[in-house]
Amino acid sequence: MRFSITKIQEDFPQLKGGSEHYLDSQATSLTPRSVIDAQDAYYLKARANTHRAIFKEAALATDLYEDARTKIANFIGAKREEVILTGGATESSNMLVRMLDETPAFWGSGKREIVTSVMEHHASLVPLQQLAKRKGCMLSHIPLSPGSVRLDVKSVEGLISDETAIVSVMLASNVTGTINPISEIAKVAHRHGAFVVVDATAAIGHIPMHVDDLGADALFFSGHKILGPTGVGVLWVRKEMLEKLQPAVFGGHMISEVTKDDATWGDIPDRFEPGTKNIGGVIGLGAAVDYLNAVGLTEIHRHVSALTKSAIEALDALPGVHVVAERDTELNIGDVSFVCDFAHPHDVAEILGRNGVAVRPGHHCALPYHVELGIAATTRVSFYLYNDEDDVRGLVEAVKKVRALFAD
Amino acid sequence: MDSLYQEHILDHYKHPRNKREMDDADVVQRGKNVSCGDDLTWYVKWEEKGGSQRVADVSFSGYGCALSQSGASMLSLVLKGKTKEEVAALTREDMLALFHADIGHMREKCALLPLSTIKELLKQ
Ligand SMILES: Cc1ncc(COP(=O)(O)O)c(C=O)c1O
Repeated sequence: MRFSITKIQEDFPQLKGGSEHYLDSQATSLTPRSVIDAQDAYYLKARANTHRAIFKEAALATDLYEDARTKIANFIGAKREEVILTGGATESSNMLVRMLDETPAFWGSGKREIVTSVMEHHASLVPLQQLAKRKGCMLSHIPLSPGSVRLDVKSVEGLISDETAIVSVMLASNVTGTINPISEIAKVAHRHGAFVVVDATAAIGHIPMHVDDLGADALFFSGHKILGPTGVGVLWVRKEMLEKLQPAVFGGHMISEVTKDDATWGDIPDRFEPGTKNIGGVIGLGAAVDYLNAVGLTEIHRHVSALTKSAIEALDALPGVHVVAERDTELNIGDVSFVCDFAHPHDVAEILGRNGVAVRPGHHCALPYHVELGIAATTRVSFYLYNDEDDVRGLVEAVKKVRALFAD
Repeated sequence: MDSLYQEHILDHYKHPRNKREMDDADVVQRGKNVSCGDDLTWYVKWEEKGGSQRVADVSFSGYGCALSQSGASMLSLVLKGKTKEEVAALTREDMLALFHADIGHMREKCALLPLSTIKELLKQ
């Protein structure tokens, strides 16, 4: 399929009637009609709980749900039984940490360190901090290269040792958009027998991605950032490991046998999916993956990179505006954060919003990264496949209005 | 469009009244909105007058959005000469009224930071 921006824009109902320039896709993406339809189809024709029941809607619901799992697995180059469906990235991250925590064998032979980065989202960082406290582990952080928004990858050699249990690094930053060289970091981690966790939430759906190429052992993301419904997420864990991990959440469907006093666990991935899931949401996410595949991730990245480049150049040209973003736009998933000498990010975002430009101010759940960058807060612009050059123009015009208002 | 950013709010933001650190303050209180990066510190000097403690001098320092900063500037003018009891009696509505504007609920925390911080100061 050729990349046609007009055709794509027609697929997203909220582009008509929503903010004129939706530049907040890194917070959550818009939804194409096909995803809404897929979700509707479940509620209109297949509403039943999944698994076990044998009446026709239940069979249909189960098929749709499991088909979506297969699509998601293919999307990231995984096996379907490695894909655990969750409520979102935050839930996935917490669940994974608990699964590792509850598996004594994982902590064998003196593994007592956790390595992450200063760039992480709180959804990944805070559960690791809590884990480190519970286990009495040392938590260390890959720093930034001086004067750069990027991680100092050379420092990894010194941070990871044979005592490192977990190395957890995000695939791309949700603030500066910078894509991290995960496979390089994973090589060092694996040389020391460490388990590699990747928060792919910001990057997925923006660049082609394959769990084997990354060298990941576990990876997670949310469906709502890639055109899917809210309330659905994915936790992927490599099969050899998943089979050894203890479940962290218990209940129905996950068991093999239950007596009055004990229980044994079912197969993977059921073992990690207790209770009734967001069935309609998962089906919607399957449709989102179909949509992204049809457009093509390489095409999406090319389109978004061009907009990112335009925006960085246009903002650079405005006096008093400072871009805080990955400037090699090949290595940027589509985020351009910036600060203004003349106005606070909240005021910038407010005035932009009043001018139909939807952006987000604040620390974007990455406080340590902002501290490292020496800024309290930024205004973040994020592009996705349905944006175009008119959005860049709208952005720049609105930032000029902010300057006019606040200039002395 | 920008009824929120009226002349007087921008004036207080660009030319804040009583914005300075006070070395000999009796009480100092810092307040923050971590999620937006607003950071405000109040300095108050009390005096005994007519059997009650009054604000003899007040100032603030910090940085943040136009609402938190202009709000602090405007509130500082209100605070001067007030008794502790009068400061304690200031309400959310009193604070919002200073802006003469409809503060959407997304920005209320910014607009109310000066008041919530001075209330914290009273607890010292
Ligand atoms: C990089 C990253 N990780 C994790 C999350 C958490 O995702 P959710 O809020 O959907 O659980 C986000 C969302 O902002 C993110 O950008």
